[in-house]
Amino acid sequence: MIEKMDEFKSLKEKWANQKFDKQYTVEELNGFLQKKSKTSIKWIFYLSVAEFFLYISFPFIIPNYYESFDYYKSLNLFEFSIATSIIGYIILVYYMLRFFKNYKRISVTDSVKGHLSTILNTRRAVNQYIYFNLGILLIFLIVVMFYAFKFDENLIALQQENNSVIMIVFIIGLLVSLIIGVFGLFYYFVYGRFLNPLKKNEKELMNIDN
Amino acid sequence: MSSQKNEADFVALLNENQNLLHKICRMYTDSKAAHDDLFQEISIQLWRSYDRFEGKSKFSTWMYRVGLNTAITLYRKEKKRIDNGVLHENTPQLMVQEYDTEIDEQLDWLYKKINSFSEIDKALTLLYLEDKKYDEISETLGISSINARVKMNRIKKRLKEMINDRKDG
Repeated sequence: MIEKMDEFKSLKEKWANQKFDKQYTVEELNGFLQKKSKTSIKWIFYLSVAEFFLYISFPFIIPNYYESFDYYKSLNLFEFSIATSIIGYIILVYYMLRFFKNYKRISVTDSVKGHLSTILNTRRAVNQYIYFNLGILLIFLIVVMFYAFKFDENLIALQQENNSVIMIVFIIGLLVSLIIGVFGLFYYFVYGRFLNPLKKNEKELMNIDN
Repeated sequence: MSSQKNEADFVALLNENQNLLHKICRMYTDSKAAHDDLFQEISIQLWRSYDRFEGKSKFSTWMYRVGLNTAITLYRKEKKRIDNGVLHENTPQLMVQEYDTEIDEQLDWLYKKINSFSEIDKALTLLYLEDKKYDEISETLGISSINARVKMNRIKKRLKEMINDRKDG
């Protein structure tokens, strides 16, 4: 027993006095400071900004975006489509501000838990924004579909011709889930690899205090 | 001009504390190349936050925080790369440049054991082995100092058990 105690003591002593063979020279250390950082934080930032701008640029890149409002008008949904667009932009501004505020707070001199939390919160703002947007899009689609079957003469005619309502709804549903699936895969590959270990570490530190 | 002076001061400080950074790198990486990479990244992060440190916080807390934050959050291991391009299919152990057994055999064993710990447990073990006070551990990791004490006792127990297993086994 005493022997084992001694070994533990000696291990701690060895730890305190260990010397690494490899010691960088002052020139090498100086060189390190000129090198570029390889951290992924910057990439998370660029990707997030790109996501926000993608949503801002939707009216410009989607063909006939403005003409689609005429169609909504014919469905008596003009006010509804304008209102959802405005809500969309308010949400965008809110989350962009939250995102930038959190991003500025990220500091490597923070405690480990604080650091993990600010990184994850920064990213969470973008994720929440995307969930909100997808939610609004889904509600919008459902309402438009409902009104289209009521007011769009082409659809009404189609409906009377051959009972294909279920088919149309099915196809639209399939398209929507395909889009959501592609989104999901994208997030899994782009962010999962980097963020999941961080989440695990944050949780581990939280558990210590619980 | 003052930034030049700063840089010289900083490099001197870095040089003095090489051993601490080497310990962190050895704990969080499993090859020489990754060790060098992480060392470089921590140096960059320390340098970038140097003006925030000056005067503000305790020197060692700043160093441990930046070192551990870089190892745990900023630095993601790249896929193992083969340095010289020659791949021996029958000898997979050659794919990673292994650490030389440069240190003491007992320390070598300890590092190998620690390598399998979770990233947070590695941080706790480092702070334990470095004999840090509970307050400083609490400040470095962002946990309460009461729980820092609880954790330190557990780490101590775990290390002792590891030693016992090694002798018995």
